[in-house]
Amino acid sequence: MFAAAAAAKRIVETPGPGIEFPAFKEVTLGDVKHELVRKAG
Amino acid sequence: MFLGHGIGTRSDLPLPASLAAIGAGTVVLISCGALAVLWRRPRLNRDAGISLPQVFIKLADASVTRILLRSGTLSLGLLVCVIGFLGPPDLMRNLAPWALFVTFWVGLVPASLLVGPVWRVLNPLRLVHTALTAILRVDPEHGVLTLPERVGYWPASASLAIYGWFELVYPRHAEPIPAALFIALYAAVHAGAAVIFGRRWFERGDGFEVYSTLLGTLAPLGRRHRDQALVLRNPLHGMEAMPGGPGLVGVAVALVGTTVYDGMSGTVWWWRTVPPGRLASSTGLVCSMLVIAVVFLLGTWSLTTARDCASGLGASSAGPRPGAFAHILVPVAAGYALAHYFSLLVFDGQQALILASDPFASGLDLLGTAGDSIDYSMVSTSTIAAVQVTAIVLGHLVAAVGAHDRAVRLLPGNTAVRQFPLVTVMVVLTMGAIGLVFAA
Repeated sequence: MFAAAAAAKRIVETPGPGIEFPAFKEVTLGDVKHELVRKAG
Repeated sequence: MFLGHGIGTRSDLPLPASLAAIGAGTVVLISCGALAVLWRRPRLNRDAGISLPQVFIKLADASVTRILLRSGTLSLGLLVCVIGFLGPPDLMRNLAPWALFVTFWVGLVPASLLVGPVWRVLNPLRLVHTALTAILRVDPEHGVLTLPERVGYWPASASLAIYGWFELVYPRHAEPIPAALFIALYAAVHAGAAVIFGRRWFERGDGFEVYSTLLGTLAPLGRRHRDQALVLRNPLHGMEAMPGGPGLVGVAVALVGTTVYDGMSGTVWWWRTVPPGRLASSTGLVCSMLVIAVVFLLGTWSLTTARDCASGLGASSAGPRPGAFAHILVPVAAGYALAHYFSLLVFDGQQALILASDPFASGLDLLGTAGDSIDYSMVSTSTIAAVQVTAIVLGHLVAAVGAHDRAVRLLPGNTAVRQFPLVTVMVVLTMGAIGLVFAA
């Protein structure tokens, strides 16, 4: 929805983190945090 | 439906998401097959239920109870508006957007599904309307104009679509002042319309009350049709008690369509394909609703073109109208809403409590939560995934039961073949929803 969804979009669309999601999955802030933690090992 | 706000990923499911989608679709398909074989006569009864003790009914129906409850919600609504206008200007410190979009809008779903049409009981605009009609010396029941019967639920449908547009398309929706302004405008429009058209406006035009009323028919607590007594009942019976009328399809389509749009507009595909801006987003919202409307009409087409049907419940000699099956979209909408917003309510709902403790950022700590932060460990991602899958499957199963019961009630003979398109739509929607929530 509003705050978390906007934050998720910002992070994914900003070059740098290099995280990817399937095209047709709604991306939430939680998904982004998961991926960031996973990439960091 | 398509996607939820859940923080779950495919790792949250104990099996691959594609298998979960196929499994869920199979459950719906087998259930529909079982219905065709075992459910050959109408079983849902709007007069079913066990009466609650008289003392409880009298307390619930007492006007003093309603006045007290509505006074409470009116005070809270006014406070939220004042905070929105005069409180801290940024989203993370102002309660108003959180109270509107999370506590109220999302919280209305589980509250209505658990205890019935709560917003009808709590609706503060009913209290405002009573006061206004007393001041203006207008008949509170009938107003000054008669609302034509053919108008039905279309005003509520428009009301929900406008709310959906504000929440999902209007770029400044998350700012405190626009959120407070929306609440104030909504209240003014609907209280004013109720003065003109009478108290019945709230049942037909107030989108929030109609939403809560429709969801509330699926609650275990409900009103028995014949005497309006409060009863405990199997929630499936509630579908037969669902109020019908022109525009019910529009309400259901607006609800499901906005949730679809909310999900789709959060995908990477959307971000990279659809140009930003109000026009593209508005088009997307309208298209989402149109898609749901077309899917519904296709699914019920063979049922609504039957010529030899029983009368009543939206049916005539020309066949049941689509509205005769509109009630099946309500459990689908409920399932989608729960799947979509569950984690939002659990997590972002905490933010509303935190902000409520110090509503003007003046150093108060009214609830003892002012210094807290959101506890993301409150519910595990596996639990969220389980809730999402369960909500989606249950929503479609209840819809299938409602559609089948209505079909055997209205259409003579074996209706299994006529239900084939609807079963196909249910299975595809279930699989698509789960597949997309978990990125199968």
